[in-house]
Amino acid sequence: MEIKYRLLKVIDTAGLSFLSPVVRLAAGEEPRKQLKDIGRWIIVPVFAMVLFGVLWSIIAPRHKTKSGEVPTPAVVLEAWDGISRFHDNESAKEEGFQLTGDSRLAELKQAVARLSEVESLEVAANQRLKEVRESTDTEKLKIIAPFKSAYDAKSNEYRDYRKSSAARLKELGGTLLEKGESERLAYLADMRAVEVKTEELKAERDALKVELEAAEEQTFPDLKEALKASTLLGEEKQFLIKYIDLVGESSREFKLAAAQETLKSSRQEFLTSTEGDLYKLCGNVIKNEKFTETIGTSQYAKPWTLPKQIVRSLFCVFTGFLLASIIAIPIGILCGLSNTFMAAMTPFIALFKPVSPLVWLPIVMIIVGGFMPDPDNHWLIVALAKVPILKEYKIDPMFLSSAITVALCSLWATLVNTALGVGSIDKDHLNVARVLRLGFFARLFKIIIPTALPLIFAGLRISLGVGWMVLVAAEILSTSEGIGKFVNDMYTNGSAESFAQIFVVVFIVGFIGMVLDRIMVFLQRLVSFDTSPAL
Amino acid sequence: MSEVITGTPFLELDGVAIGFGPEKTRTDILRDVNLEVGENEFVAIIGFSGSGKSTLVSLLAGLERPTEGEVRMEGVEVTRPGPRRGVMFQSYSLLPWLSVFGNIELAVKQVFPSFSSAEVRKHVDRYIEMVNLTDACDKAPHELSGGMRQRVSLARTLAMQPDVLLLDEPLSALDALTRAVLQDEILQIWEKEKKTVVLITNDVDEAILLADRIIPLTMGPEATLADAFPVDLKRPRDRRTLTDQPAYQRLKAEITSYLVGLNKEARKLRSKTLVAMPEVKPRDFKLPSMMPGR
Ligand SMILES: Nc1ncnc2c1ncn2[C@@H]1O[C@H](COP(=O)(O)OP(=O)(O)O)[C@@H](O)[C@H]1O
Ligand SMILES: [Mg+2]
Repeated sequence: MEIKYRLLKVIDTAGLSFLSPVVRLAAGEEPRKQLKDIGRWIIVPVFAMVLFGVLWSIIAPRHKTKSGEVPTPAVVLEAWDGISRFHDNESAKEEGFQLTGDSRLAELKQAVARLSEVESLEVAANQRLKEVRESTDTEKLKIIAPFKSAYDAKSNEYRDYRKSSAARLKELGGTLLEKGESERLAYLADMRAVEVKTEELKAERDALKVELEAAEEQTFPDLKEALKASTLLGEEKQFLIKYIDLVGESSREFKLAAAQETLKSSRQEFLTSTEGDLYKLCGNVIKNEKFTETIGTSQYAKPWTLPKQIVRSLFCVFTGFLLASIIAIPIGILCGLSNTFMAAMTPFIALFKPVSPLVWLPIVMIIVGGFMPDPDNHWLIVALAKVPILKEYKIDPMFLSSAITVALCSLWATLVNTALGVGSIDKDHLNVARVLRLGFFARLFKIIIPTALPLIFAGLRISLGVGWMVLVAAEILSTSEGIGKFVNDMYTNGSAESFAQIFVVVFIVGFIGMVLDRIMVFLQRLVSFDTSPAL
Repeated sequence: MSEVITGTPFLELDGVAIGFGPEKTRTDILRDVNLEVGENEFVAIIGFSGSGKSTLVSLLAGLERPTEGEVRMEGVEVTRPGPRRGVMFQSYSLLPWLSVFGNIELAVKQVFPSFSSAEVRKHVDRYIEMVNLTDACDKAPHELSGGMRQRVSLARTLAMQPDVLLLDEPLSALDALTRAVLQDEILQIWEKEKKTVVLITNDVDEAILLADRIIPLTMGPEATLADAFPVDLKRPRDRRTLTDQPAYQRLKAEITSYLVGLNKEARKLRSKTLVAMPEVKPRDFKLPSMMPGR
């Protein structure tokens, strides 16, 4: 029983209250009611999601775009696979590049073995692809044939009719000169009828053409499968070739050894040479020393994979969020403490709160740019580039601009909530502080802030949510690395696969936003004192 | 016990009046209040609810300034609250984010800045034990019953070891047993530590048991203190035999009939000035529930 209550409390604090009927049911408490709750809070949502997936799968393929069909859930899952494969490969390359000694050689051997395996597999796959293609081609021809012949027939009929009637009418027109009005009127009617008939035939032909195209577009699962298998193997082969190079002759260790060799011989030459330009030889030594040093610390130039973009986006949103908190909480406290200060701040809050991030961003970018005419040598960028983990994420003025924009858009919720929390402090509690003669800071930290904490956290929760939404927009506009950049790249790319990858991003952004929100709810519950324990 | 007051009284209200709100529409809650409390004296103030008892405590504590007259302690005007006049608030005023221990600790640390942390702990524990809350030491106020909260509040005020105890209905939410225990406790502290006590109560028995003088507060608005009833019962008073004494019964009858008279008078007064109000009943309403039923 003790365990049950503890578990329920954890579940409640984490905001996962939909799980509590499961726990209660397991403890055998009011099974009927729990089953009903499980039905409502677990089965209904799952059912709704399944229904959504089914509707999506049905509706999406009906809409054609310049990037192909709108991707179905299955295609989006494949795109997810593609994204993670790319990430795994790049991480492997990064690690492989730095391997040394026996482990490098072992890895190299393994990769070479795998490459020969993959090559033979690829040959087989290509063979199969060829066979499938041939068989589907004939099958396709068979399916298409009736449509094609119908279309061809109609097309010929149309052409013939147009030609023949034109000739007929022309000839008839030649004889019309000596005829009277009634004949000429009959001729006019004739020509009109021909016109109508021609239009009809054309419409029929076009309808047949659409049918033919639909038939031609028919896909064959076998072919698709074979194509995919072949493409995957091709991709793996490309990766292995590059990987073998990186672990082998392009590995750091290998290149470093070569560089050291060159350095050694140039040194030798300088020290022992009895003729020639010693100035130049000494310069060579210096140059080689520098080169060796560069090689020794070189890294594989890893491209931005989605996970890396996500981490950078998270850094960015937390930087902005931190900035917003640092600004909003003190100002909010001042607003709550002093009505005069609140009055002074009100116009700013009212005016700036509704401003879109897309307006802030250009302003911020220009201002930040003004502070950093030469960003690479600006002290802040240089300092950030030395922070161990941060330096891999290319902290540039764009990053700062995006973070500041996030802060500008998200600080209002925290500010207003903090002011509200501080303003609504219980007069009795202040009386306690007065009787005890607490000083300003003791009063602030022991009475005022604890009172306001639940509302401050409610504000922070809203701020983080707003910040996360704003961030992706800011990244797209600032072309700063991050999720926004990824989306922008995929949009510019315009292929069917990248279209599906944007869908993947929707779910990732949504999921991360949800997790962030849950974390804030959790913190909010930890600091609120007046909620009775969940029992 | 009641000593003859010589020289300047310890705690003093001199022609005090107080009202709330804008000056033009203000009616005084208290008017022309005069009170002199001697050092070590135990005064009980008794009155109906809404008559201004808590306001009187606020004035004595220095939490409110009078609109007329002066509040003085040892002849010096009281201009702001301070730990020498320990208030026990009627609403308990416990800080909900602190535990029982934390609430008392906050006060003790502030009042005795020279205490080491071990001394603070010992001091706090002593008062928690005094009000019988050792088991609830780490609980938050919202986990306690009304009576337990009242005891925490009392312990906090006592732990400050003030010269004057201003107790605003300190035992109103307690059951008869706990109430008796704490009454004895308050008496003991008063006797042992030579405190001055102003006790607000609406319980005549309690007032007679504890106080040297009982002063009724007339009905508000414009309430004022009536003439005091001195309690000439011998101390220590034993609650078991006290009620059998004729002097006790006489005093109780006197005070009670005085209070009843006050009430009647006030009603008469009020019925003249009251405006008839339309009878409006609120409709039954419930807040919508948004979460899965617990
Ligand atoms: N801060 C205030 N502002 C306006 N009216 C007040 C305020 N405090 C008390 N009052 C009024 O003063 C009267 C006496 O209140 P109070 O001293 O709390 O009575 P009691 O403690 O005797 O029940 C009440 O009518 C109350 O409405
Ligand atoms: Mg009161």
